Amino acid sequence: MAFRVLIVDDSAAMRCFVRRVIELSGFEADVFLEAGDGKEALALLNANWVDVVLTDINMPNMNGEELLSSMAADETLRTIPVIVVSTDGTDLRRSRMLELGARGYVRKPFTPEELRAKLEALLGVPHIA
Amino acid sequence: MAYHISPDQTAEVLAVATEEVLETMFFSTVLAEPEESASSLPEDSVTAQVRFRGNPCGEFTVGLALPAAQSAAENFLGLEFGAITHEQVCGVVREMANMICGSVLTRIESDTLFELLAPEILEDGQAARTGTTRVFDVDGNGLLQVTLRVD
Repeated sequence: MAFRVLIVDDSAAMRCFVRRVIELSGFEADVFLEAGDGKEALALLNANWVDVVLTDINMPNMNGEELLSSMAADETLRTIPVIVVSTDGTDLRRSRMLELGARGYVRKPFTPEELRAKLEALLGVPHIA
Repeated sequence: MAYHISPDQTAEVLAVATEEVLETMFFSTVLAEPEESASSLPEDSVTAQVRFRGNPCGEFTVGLALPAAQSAAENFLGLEFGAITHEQVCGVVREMANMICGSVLTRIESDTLFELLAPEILEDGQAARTGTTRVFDVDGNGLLQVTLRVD
């Protein structure tokens, strides 16, 4: 079974990197959608089903916190798991994002293995070493 | 609580954060260069700056010699040698500045929420000249200079 992934980051370079890392890691994903901010992400989510959202925090127009809050307020979107991918590795930020509804938190820099492990743990995929 | 970290501690944090980000995300090895190498980036270097708010506020700058920037961008985006555009190089250097800055602040602002503003490319191509600076060689492709200035 392959998964559908939405990558939300205002950096096109980082969206490209995250997609490449997921592909390199061997994680089973066959559809990648990309958004440059939370608003674009919500528009995509209202038109497309995805299995997981990977989002940055600092973005223009609608940041990662606002995206999480908007998704939590929507009966359908709140069921989609969100992993925050951020340069901010402080416990304070991690706790805040988890309180807002994030189901996982990955600090940049990260390895392909770390990201894959987080995705598989969240989506219930058995890990084969 | 006031910000307090010595210049030597700041320099050490800059080194650890830069090495971590370059090795993990850019598949590159960095070697520390002597302090005298500071501000010796060539004119065609690519420089990005990130301002941050928190405790403390300030700005972080990363400058790379063009060959080092191109090589790092190719590694980051998984592109073949020579296939990268200058716009892509600038985008990757902005992201590099964002990640190293976040890694530095995670280490020195662990008990506060900080905010990074959008990274910008500096048009004059030169790194900041004030603040704590470290210089590295990147895979033999040229110098990388990082500077942290706190307000």
